[in-house]
Amino acid sequence: MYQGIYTITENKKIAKDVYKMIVEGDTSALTATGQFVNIKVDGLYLRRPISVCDYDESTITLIYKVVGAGTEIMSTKIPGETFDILVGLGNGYNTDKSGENPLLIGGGVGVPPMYGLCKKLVKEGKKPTVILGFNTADEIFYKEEFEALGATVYVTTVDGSVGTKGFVTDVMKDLEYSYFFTCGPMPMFKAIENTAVTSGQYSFEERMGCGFGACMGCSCKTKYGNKRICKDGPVLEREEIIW
Amino acid sequence: MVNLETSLCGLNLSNPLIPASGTFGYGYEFAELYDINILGTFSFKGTTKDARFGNPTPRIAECEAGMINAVGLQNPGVEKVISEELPKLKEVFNKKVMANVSGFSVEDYVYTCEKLDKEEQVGWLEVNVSCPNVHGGGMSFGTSPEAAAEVTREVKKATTKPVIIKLSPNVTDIVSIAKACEEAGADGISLINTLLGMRIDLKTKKPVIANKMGGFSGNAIKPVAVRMVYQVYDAVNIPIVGMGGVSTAEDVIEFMLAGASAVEVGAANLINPYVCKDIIETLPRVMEKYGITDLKDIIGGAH
Repeated sequence: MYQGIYTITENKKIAKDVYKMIVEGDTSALTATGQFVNIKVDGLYLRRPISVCDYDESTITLIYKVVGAGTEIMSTKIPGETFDILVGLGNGYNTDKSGENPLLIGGGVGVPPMYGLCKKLVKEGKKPTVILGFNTADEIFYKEEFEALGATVYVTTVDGSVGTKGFVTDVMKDLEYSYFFTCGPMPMFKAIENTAVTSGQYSFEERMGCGFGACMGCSCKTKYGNKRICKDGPVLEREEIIW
Repeated sequence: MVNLETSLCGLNLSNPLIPASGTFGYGYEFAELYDINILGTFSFKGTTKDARFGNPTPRIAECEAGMINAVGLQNPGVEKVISEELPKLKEVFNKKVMANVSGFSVEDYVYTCEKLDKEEQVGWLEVNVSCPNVHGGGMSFGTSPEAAAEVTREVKKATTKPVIIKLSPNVTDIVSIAKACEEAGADGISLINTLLGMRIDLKTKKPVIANKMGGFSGNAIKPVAVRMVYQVYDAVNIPIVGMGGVSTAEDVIEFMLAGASAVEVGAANLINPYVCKDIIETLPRVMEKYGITDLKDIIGGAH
């Protein structure tokens, strides 16, 4: 974990209520895809945990949806402005078990961490397939970015405006894959849990106090004992989760 | 040169900064960030006789200038704290630590305190009397002078180390409870614990926290805490550990002027994990600004 001041270099709307922000600063504390950062927003007491979409030696890409006061303020920031950010939080995805043909499933704002993960899997010589689930056409983002990585990409929309009509599991049930990784809302997780035929990893969300394991605000029970979503997660393996 | 040293129940502290229980774990998360030996000491995660998972989530709600938590004393139980957490704590912290203890019966408190009292690294027992008494109709021990005194008396009988009673602010008359604890043999008083609070989500139209209510902490509660420290200082002759909304060196000085011999920092650790280090580093400059050369000299100075 590293606390630093990060400078915004880009902050633009990429879909309905969804923004892409790039910040510049020390990224050495990021050790895995699927980790998150915790952003101090002026005037608000608690930091805002946001998953990392992608990062390199000096920049972090964050994609967030405006859902409340914190993300609302974030969306008004312009390049040159700064944030106090805690970087390198959580465990992230472990790609060791992915096999050759992993399936990546992102739902809504669960899509962003799938991008960094996809990039990593491709770099490791694997052939990821990606399912991106949205409600409707104007919510869709990053389809082309995933395709540019060389992944096979399926889009589902609940209203059928783009791609397969329905849910991510409507595509998942007909695919073959060696392992799966997912991030998204709880109803999607439950549907995946009922559909999946391999092991996999789920990235969970919870209301957090600190984001680094001190306050026990986001604890959950697992088959391997109590875990803190922020520190021992947010990624949990399918085998340990108690639904 | 300014002097940051203070003392608490006969033990010296290099400075008055003490991260509060429940905001600092057992120290090692923070030891990854800085050398926690710069702290006066710290109060470790509230420990109970048996292991507790605590309350369902969500356990946290944001407020203006503060937060509400209803963690529910999640901890592995005193045996595991001693066998697993204290050895790890010892690797990163070489000073005496404050053991924070909770219980749901007088017997619980005595059992847990007796075990922790035997641990060499434990310097003080901080007894949290804000928990509900399962044999007393669920009323918190800390809301009645008699119940708080009984816990104090029985813990004192079973232990050798300084016993600091941590008081709840959710009472009509904090002074009478502090005095009852002093008369029952308490070596110190720490206050305040969190204020009972609630937030309701306008979208779901239900309380944000699964437990409905929780403890409100953060900057917003500071004036209440300063007032209570001030009142208790007038009434007792044992040292006071002040806390509630502390996040700056100025806050530390304010609490000491009110009557605190040492100062705990709680919720602020969760927002800025370096806050205690920052306060320790800025304290000399702020002391100089206000013409203070020795922190010990200002304890109770506002009276």
